[in-house]
Amino acid sequence: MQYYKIKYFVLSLLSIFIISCNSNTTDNSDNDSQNIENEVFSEIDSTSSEIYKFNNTLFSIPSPYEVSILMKKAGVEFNPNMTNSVGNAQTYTDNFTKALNLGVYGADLAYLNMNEQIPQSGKYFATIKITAEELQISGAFNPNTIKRIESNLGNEDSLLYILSKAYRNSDKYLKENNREDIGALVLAGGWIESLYFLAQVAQETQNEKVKDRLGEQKYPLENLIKILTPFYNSSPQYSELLESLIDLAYVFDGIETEYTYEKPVTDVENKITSITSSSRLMMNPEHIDMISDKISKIRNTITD
Amino acid sequence: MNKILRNIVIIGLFFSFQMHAFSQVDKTMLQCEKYLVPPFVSDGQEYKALLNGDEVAEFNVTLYSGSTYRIIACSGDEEGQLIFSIYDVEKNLLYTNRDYQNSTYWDFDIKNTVNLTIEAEFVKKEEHSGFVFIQIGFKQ
Repeated sequence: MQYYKIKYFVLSLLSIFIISCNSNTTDNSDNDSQNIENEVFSEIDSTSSEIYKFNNTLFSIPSPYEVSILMKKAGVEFNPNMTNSVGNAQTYTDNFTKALNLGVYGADLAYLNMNEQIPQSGKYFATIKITAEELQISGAFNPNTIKRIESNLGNEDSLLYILSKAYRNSDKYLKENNREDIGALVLAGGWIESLYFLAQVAQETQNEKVKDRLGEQKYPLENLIKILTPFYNSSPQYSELLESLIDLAYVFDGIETEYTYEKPVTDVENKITSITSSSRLMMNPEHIDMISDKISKIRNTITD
Repeated sequence: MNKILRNIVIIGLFFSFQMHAFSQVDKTMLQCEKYLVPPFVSDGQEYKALLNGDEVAEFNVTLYSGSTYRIIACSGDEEGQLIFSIYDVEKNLLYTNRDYQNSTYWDFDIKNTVNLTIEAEFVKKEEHSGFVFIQIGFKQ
């Protein structure tokens, strides 16, 4: 009897293992397996990722590349003094600061790349590579990706594509390895540096498009705060960062928006929908000054 | 002896299904990635949610004026298993792939910056559970 029990267990284990490795699992898999799978998924759900605990609500932060592209399109002149010096990287000793500055340097590289600053781009990429290694995000910047980036430093479009993918891989890697706190900091660093660029340029040039883009950061900031909130108590540094962003959000709250819905237009053949609804920002120069002041302080706390 | 065997089976079940889950995740990711190709560039983030049955995943995004975005929604081996719908801040429905044979991806030309909510749910709610992926790409 004991023999049959052992045999039964071993066979069960083997069959389940085979099912799990079979890529062609179909809806016909038996219901028991599906139930157990659901239970295991639930287990993963409750233990592996904070992001699943928002009742399946996820928040997006615009890519730093979008800001650099906008500034280039708006004809904003390149300012070499805006980026964080690569020399500062050696002063970042803890993972909190390294992760934030990985995001900062990513935004800097996007800005340099968009402005065809090839030798500088190389230096920033080398710093990103070292910082990623120190944070043990080896999966995102594997030798093949590094080689592709290095050989495309002069090619704006290719670098943009490869680097975006590398940052996405890093985001994925961190989420899969229960390091969402670090992933959230990389996102935060990129967004803070982008907002810093926009605020500096808006103040200096009074460019209307840049000013609008600055005001439009109200919702991405709310999203960023929601992403960071689960880690509020993880360290005093985290609490301080979050509190400074909440303080910044109060300024953005003073910017009123007026939204008007318009029916979208869809081109089915080309699989594209034009979203034509409009939104107007009511922003005054004081808002820009206050945002610029607050984001400069936050950014300097991270980079200095 | 029975207790040891039971524990072995439970541990084995856990790891084998975890492997199954991750292999499904990777396959779904690849399915999504084939549509995120130049001239579209990833926004650098990975959006993943676990849905059971009739649950709905919500993704909050800001899309900027003057840009074209590609939104890709994937789940499981087959395409067309997921409904994704896009709403504005006033909850007006702007798009749903339900109207276009559950298309896996769709492009959006944004005239003015908008804050949107993307909702994703399974077509056959009663038969499904698993990971849902959304990827967002933008065109220069």
